[in-house]
Amino acid sequence: MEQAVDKIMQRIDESYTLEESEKEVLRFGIQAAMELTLNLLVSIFILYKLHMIWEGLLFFGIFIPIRTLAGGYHSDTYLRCLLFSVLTLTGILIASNYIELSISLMLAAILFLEGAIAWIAPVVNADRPVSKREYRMFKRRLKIVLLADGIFSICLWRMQCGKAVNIIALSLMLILITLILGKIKYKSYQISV
Amino acid sequence: MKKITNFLMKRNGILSAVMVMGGIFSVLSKYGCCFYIYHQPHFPAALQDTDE
Repeated sequence: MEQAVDKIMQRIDESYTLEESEKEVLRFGIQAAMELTLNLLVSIFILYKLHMIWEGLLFFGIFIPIRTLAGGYHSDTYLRCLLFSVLTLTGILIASNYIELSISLMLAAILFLEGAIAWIAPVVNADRPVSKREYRMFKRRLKIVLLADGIFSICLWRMQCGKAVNIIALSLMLILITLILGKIKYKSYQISV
Repeated sequence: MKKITNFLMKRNGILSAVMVMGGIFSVLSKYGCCFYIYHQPHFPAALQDTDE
């Protein structure tokens, strides 16, 4: 991936006159866009193959906003990231079919996991320095997202949508695990407000 | 990946689109702690918030 970005930046350098800081920002944006796009395409392919489109969309609807604001574990290479993403997405979708716990118990688990996430997050990583002002802002936004997810989960529980509740609980569990892993990995980067 | 990149980079319209996309993702990165995937490219110094 980095080689492809290098090639693109070389071509941009030949066509445009940019300052070093502009090139750095552009390089970061292009790399992020390519990585996210590839992950998204692979995820859509998995959802299509598993015939679990709405389940996958629900997973992403819960996972993306929380993960973006909460942070957590990141792998050192993009390939490991892609592998981890594929395994977790597939694992959660398949596991959601086999959980046979009561829906009320799963709702209780969701509320507990949300509390734990709100307490631990945000977990800052080495490659994304965060100021105290940003930290407070992310924490506030995260609490709003968690509140909305909690209300949404209660609605699903009332409608007895067991599979959807399972997916939300598993997504939150994955987020909590990555937060704990991130907290251990990036111990020295954490901010106390 | 290299062949695809080479092919795409020969077209100026695509190069401009890639630059716009890169700019959009750089701006979006300010709205969260990280991207949702499990890899975070190094955040540029120019985008870092200096306010404590």
